[in-house]
Amino acid sequence: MEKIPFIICGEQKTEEHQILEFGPKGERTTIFLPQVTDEDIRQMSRTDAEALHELPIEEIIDFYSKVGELWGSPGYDKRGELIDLTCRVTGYSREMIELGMGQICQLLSREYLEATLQADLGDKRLLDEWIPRAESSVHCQPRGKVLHILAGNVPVVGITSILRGSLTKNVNIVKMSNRDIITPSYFAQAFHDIDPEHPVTKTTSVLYWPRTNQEMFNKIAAFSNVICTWGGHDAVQETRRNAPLGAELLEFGPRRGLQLIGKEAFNELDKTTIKAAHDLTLFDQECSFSPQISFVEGDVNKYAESLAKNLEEENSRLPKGYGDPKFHANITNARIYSKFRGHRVHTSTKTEWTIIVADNIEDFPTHPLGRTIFIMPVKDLAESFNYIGPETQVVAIEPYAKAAALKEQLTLRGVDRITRLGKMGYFALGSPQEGMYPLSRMVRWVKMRQ
Amino acid sequence: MEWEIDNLLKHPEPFTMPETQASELKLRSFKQIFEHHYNNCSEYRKYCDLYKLSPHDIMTLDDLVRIPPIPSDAFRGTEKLIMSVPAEKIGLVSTTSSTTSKNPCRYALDLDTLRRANLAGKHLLADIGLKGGFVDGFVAMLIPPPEESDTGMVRAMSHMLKKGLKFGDRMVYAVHGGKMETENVIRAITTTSHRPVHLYGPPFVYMHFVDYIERQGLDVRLDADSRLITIGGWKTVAGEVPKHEFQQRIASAFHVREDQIRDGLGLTDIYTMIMECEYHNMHVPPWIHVSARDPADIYSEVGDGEEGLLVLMSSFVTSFPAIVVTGDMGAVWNSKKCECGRNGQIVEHLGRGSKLGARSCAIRMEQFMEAITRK
Repeated sequence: MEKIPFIICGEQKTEEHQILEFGPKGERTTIFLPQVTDEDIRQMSRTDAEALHELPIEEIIDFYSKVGELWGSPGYDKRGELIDLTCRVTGYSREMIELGMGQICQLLSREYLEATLQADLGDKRLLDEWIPRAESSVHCQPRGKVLHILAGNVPVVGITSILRGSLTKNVNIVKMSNRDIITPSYFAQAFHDIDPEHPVTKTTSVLYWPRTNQEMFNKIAAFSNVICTWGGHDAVQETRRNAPLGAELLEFGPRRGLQLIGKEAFNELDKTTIKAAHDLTLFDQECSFSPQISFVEGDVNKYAESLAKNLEEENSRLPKGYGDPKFHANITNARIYSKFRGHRVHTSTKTEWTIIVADNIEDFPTHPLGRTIFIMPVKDLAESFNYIGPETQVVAIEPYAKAAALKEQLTLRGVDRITRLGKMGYFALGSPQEGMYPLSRMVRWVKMRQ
Repeated sequence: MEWEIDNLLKHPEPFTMPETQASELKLRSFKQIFEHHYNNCSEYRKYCDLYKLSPHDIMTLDDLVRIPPIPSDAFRGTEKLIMSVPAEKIGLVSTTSSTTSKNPCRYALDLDTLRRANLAGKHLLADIGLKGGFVDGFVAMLIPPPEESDTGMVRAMSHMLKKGLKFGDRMVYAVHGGKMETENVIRAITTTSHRPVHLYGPPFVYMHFVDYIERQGLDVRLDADSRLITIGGWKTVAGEVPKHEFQQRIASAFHVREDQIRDGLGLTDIYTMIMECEYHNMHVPPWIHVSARDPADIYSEVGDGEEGLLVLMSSFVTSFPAIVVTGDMGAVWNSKKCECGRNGQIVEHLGRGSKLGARSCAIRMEQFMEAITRK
């Protein structure tokens, strides 16, 4: 039984109104949460953003760097609590959560924050000053209040969203997902531990309400100027349908990743499949960057055998987390379906990972995820173009030298990111996301003619 | 060829016969039907060969767990039907609910299977006290007529009641052209002289009728031996009203006892159903075998009452290997005694397995296929 606080404009609020349960039978974790009241909503709607607006961007960067240092510090008492609770609530293994924590600390490094501002806005000074550009002086004003509807499948993603809100001097209102009811709350608690009066602390609210509570969404969305929505198809559709007119909507909906393996990769097959296994293992394939299909030139069975060996090893390093029996059932179903259809199937002893070698994926009614990869043999990697559209976020290519010849056709079809094998879950410094620079959408670009 | 299943279906008391006799007849029927599919369905034989399993390996009822189940998804699509009899013997192609899938499963049924399905259905309905229409009676079907729907739930039940139980024209359908004809049905069941009046349909349609009766303040009285059969899932009703409370509202709206309301579990993938007894336990007849498997290992069963992935097996379907894993979750009790006195397995349906591997930002295959098709 654990109480997780809401944060309302920097102040913690702990009550026992909402009860959520997580984990396997017999080892359930019960989480108590407060309820969002009309007074909370009123307070959030009136959040004073003046001090944040007056704060130089350097000080915001400093503040977040301190949060990163605190979270990275083994001596920080809340770090242990956070890891333990996040494992129990999300079902991810401790090793996976530790990896996620490492990603968050990297994200909060000065280098990353500076690069993000530089890439997204071109010049961080635009947030503090009026900068001459051609015939005008240009400045970035915050849009006001940013409502973040989080998905909770990857801890670092929620933190990225919050960070973007602050870096653009907006007020953050964070709606946690019941998939991860822990990380955002602890993140905002760290603000308080560093400086309870800091403008970033005072302009951050973190709360939860069930997705079915449309009325709550409507009340809060009504005074939000930007809505960042993350998650599956239904969640994003729902936000789009109900977002108020005039609010800037940033959608980070469901997508997927693909791997293209050229015949040259067989020269160092073990190294190749170590990287491919890591991409598949990361966050148990629940992310929009997770690979779902590999197109392989050459001996697919040899490739699958090598991948099987390395998935087994990767599973020892980053063990698969807890999943509801239904998720295991979906994997089992996909396996026996594939066998019945005559496809070659490689599996772990239980449902830790699955490789299905198939001539065509049209044959498959669904993808069970949970570290399952379909391998399609191709004579030429360009054959993969038929399976690539806007639903594909990222393509990893091995050997990477082949990317130069493929990049134009891949991105023309809708791919946003081309990367190295083994790096699908890692975003390069200063890179756009979902075909845009999100910070640039979270500010109003204003000008004064010279 | 003499079929063991016919001996089982001929038995006058299939639910209460001595357990040893039921086990013996059940084993013989399942051994024979497995051998039939193994010998006559080439895809299935190839599949069994993967697991190095042949009919000789099935010696006891405990060996049924070794028989490879086919995922119901393999029956989807318009390609060649999976069959264990020549194509010319197929009399009907049954589909699973087309409202929940653009690409329903298609099951080939021969006349022998249809005849046995009818017999099995009669047993089930007689067992819950639904007397046939041989003498009298009337049925209000809270579903579309069979000519407007090709789903097993509609077609099989309509055929069984009309022909098998001889209700003939003493039946009314509530849904025509996609519209609910509420007043027509109320009029029919309150004015018919053919008694008793029975109802059959999905819970959400019952809910519609209950709301209508309550709102209009109507006095609709069914009979002391009426049966009100609900079938087809609770997902649209659950969350609004708990099942038990909902059954109380039905009982009150139609002036019947709660034990007259029986929930059924439609096993459309093996062309049959299972009915609740008066104690609301779903008893599995001996010609069906239900098994709850470890979700992570399809060839091992979970313990009595534990949640598992359901495998459904029928010993009366000769036209395709009715040994199917549908993705439904459930619990099975092999040795639980029910106060009603029936023997055999008891099953509880616990819902569909999620189509998503997990709630996540990863796109689903269906969405991906749609995106590709749009290009």
